[in-house]
Amino acid sequence: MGEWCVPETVRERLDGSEPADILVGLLTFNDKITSPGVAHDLAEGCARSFPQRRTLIVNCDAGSQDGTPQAIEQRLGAVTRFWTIRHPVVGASFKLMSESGVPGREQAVRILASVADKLNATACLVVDGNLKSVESTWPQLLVEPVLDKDVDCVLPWFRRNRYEGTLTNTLLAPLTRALYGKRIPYHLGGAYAFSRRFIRSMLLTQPWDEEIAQYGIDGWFTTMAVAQQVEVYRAGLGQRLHQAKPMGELSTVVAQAVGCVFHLMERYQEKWESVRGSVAVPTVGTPAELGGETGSVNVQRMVGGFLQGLRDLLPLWQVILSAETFQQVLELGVEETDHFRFPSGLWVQVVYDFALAYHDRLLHREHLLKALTPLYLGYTASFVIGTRAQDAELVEQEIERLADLFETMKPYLVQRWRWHDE
Amino acid sequence: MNDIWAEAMVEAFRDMMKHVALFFPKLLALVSFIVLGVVIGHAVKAVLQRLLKALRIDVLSERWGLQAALVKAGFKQPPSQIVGRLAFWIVFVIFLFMGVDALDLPATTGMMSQLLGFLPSVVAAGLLLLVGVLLANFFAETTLIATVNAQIQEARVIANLVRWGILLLTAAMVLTQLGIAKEIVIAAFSIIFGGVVLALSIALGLGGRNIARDALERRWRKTKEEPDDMAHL
Repeated sequence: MGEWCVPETVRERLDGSEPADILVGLLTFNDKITSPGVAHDLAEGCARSFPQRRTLIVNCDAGSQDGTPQAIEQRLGAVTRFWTIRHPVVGASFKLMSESGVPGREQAVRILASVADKLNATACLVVDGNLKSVESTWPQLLVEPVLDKDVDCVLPWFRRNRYEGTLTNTLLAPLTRALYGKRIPYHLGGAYAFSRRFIRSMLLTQPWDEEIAQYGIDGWFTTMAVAQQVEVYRAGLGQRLHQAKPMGELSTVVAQAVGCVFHLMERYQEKWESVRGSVAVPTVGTPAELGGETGSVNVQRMVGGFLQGLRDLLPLWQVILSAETFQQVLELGVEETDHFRFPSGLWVQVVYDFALAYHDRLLHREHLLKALTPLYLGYTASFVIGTRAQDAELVEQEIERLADLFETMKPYLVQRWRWHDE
Repeated sequence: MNDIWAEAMVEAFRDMMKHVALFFPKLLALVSFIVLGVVIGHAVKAVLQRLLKALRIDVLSERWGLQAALVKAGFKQPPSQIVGRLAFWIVFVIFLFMGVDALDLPATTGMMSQLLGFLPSVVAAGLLLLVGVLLANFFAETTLIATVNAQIQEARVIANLVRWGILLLTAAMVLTQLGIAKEIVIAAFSIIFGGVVLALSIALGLGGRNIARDALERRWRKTKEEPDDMAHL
């Protein structure tokens, strides 16, 4: 099961190796500054919270030039059981972007899953090496539900500022919630924990196609966890501070993240079609509320991006959007920046129309996904203009209202999806 | 006198009948070739369409985005039907020319061999044209989306330049492939392409100097002065 992806040297090491109860995977690429501290905190947290369990820390490194694996080994010392694996970076992995900045991230997770399976580990914890806010309580928050409550997958829930993660808050999370009926934060990257059952029956057995490699593994297993009706928890881990790495063009980020959800909609069509409403997944740790800070947001530029899309991408939008949605989008172009409003209902319709167009292959898929960016900028600008004078609680309510709208308008998607399939 | 006249009449009639008798089988051959062309053309079309459907060419072309590109290029049908129809017409035209050749008319002598000699060039030129139009549309769309997302105001102009550049190159390649006035085509292409580039340089250097400076300044200042620290994911 998935052994082919494990490098030869690791396979040799696995033969006759002592089993482990908890496998902690640390993903790194030139993270010498942060990763030794992360490894130390995780090792300490595991030793304190699970003293009877055998822990193995595995550093999956993409080929750091700054001596990251050596720095981790030095920091951990001889007391902690520690392996280093250099994971391969091939093909589409080069194009992938994640906040961890680790190329070949999906290969690393697959290798970790295979190693955990081979060593018969009960839980596998995967953490990004570029994090600066890891605490020794994280292993307990993430792994304890797996060990004690038979949970299959624990997803991270970070405290974020009000306009941090706008794509997540206005599209990825509400769409996933409406589709699969589970309220998850959909925070890609950071830290996750998986059970042995989840690794064996899901991660290692699911079809692994080119698109998954293209869109990234975080969205893949997050969606899989909610689609496959396994026991999912979310762990409130506080704030996520990390060593920032370049994320590339916004349109590429949008195409990658949204493409993952759209792609998996086709695979899990039978699962989401019949789902109505949603339930919150159980939480461990402190619930992560929305922070009050706004940061620097250039609304003018976002509106400009939308208006330029309205001027230049109209022929493409006309192909993608339904006539009714297209007409409403056209009418948005007449507003002044300060009064610019993009109604939430229209945004939901736009997202559903794009999902349908993706399904029907009305355009080259990468073009289609990238053509969404100006519309996303338009909605985000409207969201910021409409909420910047409000306090964080009201902003959170606004996000909740949008998520509800995604749920109530789901029949719009289901009917058209079926109609297009016939 | 009467005998001579009658003989001339009979001779002429006999000659004509002989010609008709000789021509009629050829005409019949032409009609037969046309009918055969239609029947075999349809058979080839049906077999090809079934084969391409069995190979899931339509599904694959949809998956690769080729179908959408074909629609944009003006082809409304799926690839299996386009190929089927093309095959029908090729077979039909071959049979038609065989029929015309069978007529043995002085004007059409050697037409078939000429056609068969020219056919590979026509097919290659047709394929070149199709690929060129598809590539022109694809890259124009890629450019348009990329430049709009980069908020470059001249997005449509740049995309059109890409489209027409590729179409111009395609047209030159198609004409060269067909062997139509090769030297003129190459010279015309070089002149037009060089002319366009020169015109753009002059336009930007003289007429649009201020606009270019403003655009560059705007872009430079945008990135320098207004950092946006929004995290979208």
